[in-house]
Amino acid sequence: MQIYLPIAEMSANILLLLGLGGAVGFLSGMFGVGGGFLLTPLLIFYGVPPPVAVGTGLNQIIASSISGAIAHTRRGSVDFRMGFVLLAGGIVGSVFGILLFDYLQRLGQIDLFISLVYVVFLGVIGGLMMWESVNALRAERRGGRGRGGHHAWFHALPFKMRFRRSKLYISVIPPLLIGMLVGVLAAIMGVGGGFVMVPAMIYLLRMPTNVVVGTSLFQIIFITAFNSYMHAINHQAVDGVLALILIVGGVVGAEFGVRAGAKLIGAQLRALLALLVLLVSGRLAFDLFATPADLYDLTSAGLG
Amino acid sequence: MGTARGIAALAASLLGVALAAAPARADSVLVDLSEHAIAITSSFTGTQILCYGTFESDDPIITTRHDIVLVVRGPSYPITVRKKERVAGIFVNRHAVTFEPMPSYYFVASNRPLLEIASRPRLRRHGIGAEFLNPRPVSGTSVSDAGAGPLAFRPYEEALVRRKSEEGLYMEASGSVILRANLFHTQIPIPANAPVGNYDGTVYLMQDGRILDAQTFSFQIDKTGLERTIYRLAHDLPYLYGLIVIALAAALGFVANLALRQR
Repeated sequence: MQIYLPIAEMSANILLLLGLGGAVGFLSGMFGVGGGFLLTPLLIFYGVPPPVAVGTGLNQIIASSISGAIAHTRRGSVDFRMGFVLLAGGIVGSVFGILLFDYLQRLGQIDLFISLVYVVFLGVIGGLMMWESVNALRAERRGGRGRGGHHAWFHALPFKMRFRRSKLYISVIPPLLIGMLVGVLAAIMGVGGGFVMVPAMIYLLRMPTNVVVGTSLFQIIFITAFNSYMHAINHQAVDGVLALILIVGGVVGAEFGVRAGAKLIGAQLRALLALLVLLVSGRLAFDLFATPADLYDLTSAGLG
Repeated sequence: MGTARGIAALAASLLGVALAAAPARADSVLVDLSEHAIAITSSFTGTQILCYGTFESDDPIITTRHDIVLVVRGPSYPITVRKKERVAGIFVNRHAVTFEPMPSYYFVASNRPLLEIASRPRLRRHGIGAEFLNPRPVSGTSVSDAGAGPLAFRPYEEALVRRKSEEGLYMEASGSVILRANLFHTQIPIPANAPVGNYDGTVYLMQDGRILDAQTFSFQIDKTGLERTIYRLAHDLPYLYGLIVIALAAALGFVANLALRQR
């Protein structure tokens, strides 16, 4: 069943798009990542113009994050105070990221930059997570504890704040910086940034795994909404029809993802996410090194 | 459906032509389309326009040697062609050439291969045939922008036509014009990714490689209904459109959560 997408200006299979949204939504609910790091490349692979894929993918993440965040709020696994601190940094980072996006687009290097950022971030984070979660699984089996205390330098920083849900009393500077980094990535990669946020919360901030996912989803709602809006204004690249189809698939998938995630233990969850992140990174790295089918590419002003 | 309508119109118009063209003008061609406005709706997956016409010649004996060539151009925009090169193992956009506005859509149909109809210089002069579109780099483009070599722009020009052909937006259909005495007809394919805007066409009546007469026509491709509303809103009121889409996404997120909560 074909449907015409008015902004992407293409005819697409509605069932395939629903399935795509559902699969990404499922992962979103399960891992607390927006799923944008999968959705954006998949949409581009399907033939959606990259700016439209980035702008529209963000809207699907908004919906699935809201659905997921409500489910987590009911379970009391959202640290709102931490969420707002991360968000404050995220907005600042997003503004910077959008300026960088426009600059690289003028240079004609945005595609390469997006791919490189994806490969580097997904590769490093996936590798670290895999290593840590495998160690944690081993430690659990031996009955030991996998988690240590805080880094010493963390306690030397000023502007300390108490985050009761996370059982933390730390400076607001590290979460602000993490938020900023995620904001930059959200703007450039068209992702919510959960795949950076979740590991950063676990390994840098040492938040308990059970509040990490909900808090990540909570701040992703606002980061993606902000960036989607900027893309709608600056690039007219948000396809309402495509967004609607992806959302319908996504919200259903997200709800099931949350339930599935609740049944998995922390270390298994992290190992699965790590595997997924590494796969996407490997795929993108392969594309960078492999000789493209055509060395020449067209971009046209006035279209899209 | 469109074809049946077109053939009815064809018959009607031919009758009209036969009556109107009584004091035969020497070497003239007349053309019309089955549709002058293509509406893109939610179920649009591409379509075809029937193009039909007739020609008159003051030399009826050699009528069978007349050729009909049809050229259609979509709205033109500047196009930048970038070339990737391997740098430190990965492929990077190194060089780029921007060309003067080029048609976003190009279709040429003829009753036999173009090179049998006319010489290369003539085809090039009139821009008949995708390989004779002659893209021109915008002023100020230097050979160093394209990398080294005296024919540096050549591969970029070829890549432009090649990539557009792969997208299905540059098409050639030699032999697709059906000639029957002094009547002709052909189909103009409109793919799903055809850009919206005004399309201009020309029908050439040719003989021995010369153009005897040419007749222009045009048609419009535009979105309609909801598709048009969304497109216009996104481009004319992006501040409002952005908010609407976000609100919609948020509302759906809430609704889905509530709906799935009732177990």
